[in-house]
Amino acid sequence: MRIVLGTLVALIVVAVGFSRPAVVQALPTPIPHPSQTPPPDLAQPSPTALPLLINGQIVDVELGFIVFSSGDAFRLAPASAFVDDATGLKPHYEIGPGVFAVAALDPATAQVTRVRTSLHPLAQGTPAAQIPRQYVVEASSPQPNPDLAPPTGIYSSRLSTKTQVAFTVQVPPDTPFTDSVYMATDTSGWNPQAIKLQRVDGLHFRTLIELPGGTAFSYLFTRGSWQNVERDQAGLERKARRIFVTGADSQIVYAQVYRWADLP
Amino acid sequence: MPHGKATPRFLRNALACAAAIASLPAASLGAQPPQAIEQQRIAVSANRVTYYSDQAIVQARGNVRVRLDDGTTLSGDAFSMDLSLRRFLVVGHVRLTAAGASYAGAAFADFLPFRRMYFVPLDPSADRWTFLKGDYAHPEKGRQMPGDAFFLPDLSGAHPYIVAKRAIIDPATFIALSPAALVFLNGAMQTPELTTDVLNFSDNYYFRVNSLSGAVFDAPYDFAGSDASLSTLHLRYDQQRKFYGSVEQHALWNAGYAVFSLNPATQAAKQWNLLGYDRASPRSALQLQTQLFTVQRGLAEPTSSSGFGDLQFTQTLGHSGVRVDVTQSYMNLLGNGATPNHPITAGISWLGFDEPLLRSGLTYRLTSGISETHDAFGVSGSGHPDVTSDFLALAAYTPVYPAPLGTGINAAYSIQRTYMSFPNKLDQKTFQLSDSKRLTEKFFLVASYVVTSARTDNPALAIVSPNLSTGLVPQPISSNGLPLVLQGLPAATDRLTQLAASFAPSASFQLTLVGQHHDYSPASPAPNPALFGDQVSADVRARISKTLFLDVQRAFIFPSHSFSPQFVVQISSQ
Repeated sequence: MRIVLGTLVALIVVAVGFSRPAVVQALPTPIPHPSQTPPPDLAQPSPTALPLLINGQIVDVELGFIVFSSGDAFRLAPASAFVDDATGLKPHYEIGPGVFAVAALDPATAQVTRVRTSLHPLAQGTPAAQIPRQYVVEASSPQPNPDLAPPTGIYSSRLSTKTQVAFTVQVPPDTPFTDSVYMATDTSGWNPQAIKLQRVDGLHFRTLIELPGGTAFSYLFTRGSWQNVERDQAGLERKARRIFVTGADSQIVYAQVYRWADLP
Repeated sequence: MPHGKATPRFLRNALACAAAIASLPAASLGAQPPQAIEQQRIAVSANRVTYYSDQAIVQARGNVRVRLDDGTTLSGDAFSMDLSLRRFLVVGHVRLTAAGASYAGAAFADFLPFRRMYFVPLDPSADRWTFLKGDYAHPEKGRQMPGDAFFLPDLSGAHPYIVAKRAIIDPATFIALSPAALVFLNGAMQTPELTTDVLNFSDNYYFRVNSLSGAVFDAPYDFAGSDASLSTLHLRYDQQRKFYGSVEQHALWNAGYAVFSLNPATQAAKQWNLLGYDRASPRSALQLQTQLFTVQRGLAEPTSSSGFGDLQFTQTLGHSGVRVDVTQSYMNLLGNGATPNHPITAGISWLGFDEPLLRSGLTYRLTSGISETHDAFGVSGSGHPDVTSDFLALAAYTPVYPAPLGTGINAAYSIQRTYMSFPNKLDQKTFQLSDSKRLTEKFFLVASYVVTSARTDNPALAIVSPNLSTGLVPQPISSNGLPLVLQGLPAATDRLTQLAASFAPSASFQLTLVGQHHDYSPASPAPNPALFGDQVSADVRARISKTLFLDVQRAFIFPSHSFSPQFVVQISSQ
């Protein structure tokens, strides 16, 4: 017994140490979340005093340009210098994609003269996307992008960053009374015991989960394994259920399981 | 009847029924395959490709080369893909080559769900271009871009889970990294370069249909895969077999799947499993389950071999479904002189949907079935080579009614009578009464009284069958034969009184306490105390990381004044 327990504990310790746990069948499918930031406000002038300090993440330094992750390109002065923000010396790392920077731009020449860099975000300066457009190199005149129009019909989630989603499921009457009910989700690699539900009465189980607005995932109810996953009324395998979290303060999902795969 | 010589009459009838049902016209309702599989792949190579499992991000740096399905190639200094957003970007000295176009620029981003590609060209001057639907020859110039179009996630404090040199990414299904080195213990340990590691994150659950019997520990390694297949090696452990290796292969198509496994593959006693499912139409499906048991060293000639197969065809009707079920066992598949025996059970069952009982609030469900079992040596050792079984079952339940003290009460009752042509009959009944109380939003009490009983005329004449049309499928809990086999007893009854308290103060913690009192009869022979003894059990489930839960269960059994034989400790992902 002790040996078995010891082995189990050892296995657990090893499993916890894994970035991906050994007992997990697959990596969780990431839960999508809204990410697109609004378009830069082209009309807003920079609050930064001249010379302009441009803050951003570098994606390229090439052909006389320094380009930030917002897609804004600025011309580099021929004698421009790159220094590490912490030491003031030449950086010991390569100036390339992902390096954070504060670039000093001379308004008279519209050229970047000095760039302080760091491997971590810096606090100074104005985000590159908010720099007055006359300093940004763009061969074409700006055009609107209809893709960036705010979506309609979805709450903006300004009051709550997360939505409390209540899943309540009614189980069939032949469900063994001592069994537990779980949700298997695609985000857990379809682990049949991913989310355990609480029994609330003789027919219902439920769980409360906080999810960011915009989250979408697929799920099915099980009694703990794929041998006893839910089926449809006729006993056929059913399509996975799907939820999309709208972004309201709370959301209620009511479901009914008609049959289990292992029961007639 | 000589075994295996002639097709039994009942089998012919069953096949005729199956053919008739299969010929029923298919209607348009019903489920479709879980999800369509997207066909869009990105092949990446670089000096270093890393995968961050916690954030579902792939990054590549140094001499990055990217090839898309349409033949477009990109090169650059860095590549990053957020699998949750299905967006990838290539930044730094980007060279884009596509049909009819070749550009040099600073950054390229592809928002796959929208078919929008954003590009910052630098030659002859910096600009903003957008390619719509893969048309690289005609960029939309000057079009605004999302403010974070080319932002590389800051992973400076994170440790990758896998380090490789190449990756094939199907944004909807999988990522395959090779040669993959796994990183453990927050970067403290890294394996040598292995072959390919496939990480499947499809929302199609067919990839996760499990054909392996239970083990207390399972470490899977997906070594090959695509949007329609997955090959997995398993390192497993259970108390009987100890450590062993298994192999499993999934194959998917639009309306079904097949799963093959060899478990264990590293020990002499082997199980060869094959599961199959095909959605023949929106209202019907064919399901196959087969197992072959062998005892053999490696792949040498077996010294023992047996198996069984089960084939089901299910058809949805108006407010019910019918299922044809054929099960055949193979007691000995070796031509070593032993007498072969291939008992078979075939039948058809009817499954009524839940229906309201007038306006009473009650809901009921009817189920019935008829089957025939043939065993040349006598069914269940009875000397009867052919036994017919038919059953009728009724289940009814109430909704949850408001009750005094702010509680909710509901009841369920089910009864099934099964006739067997031995002759014999079996009655099974279950009555359940529950009273529940919500103490707070997150704290529930449920008191229940459950009576389960079984009675037969002759306990020696019974069948336990995996075939659903017999009505004699073993229940999940069947110690002491309750309710099917009865182990020589003519009747058994269990009266369970249970009080369950469930407390979930947050999504990260859940505690369930259950007290059970069993009144089991007959008292002799003594029932299994682990199942029918008074006990108190506790189950704690707590989050231990962003994606992992620890679940610990244990019970104290009063008849033996001992804890349950083992802790149940489980780590699962969410």
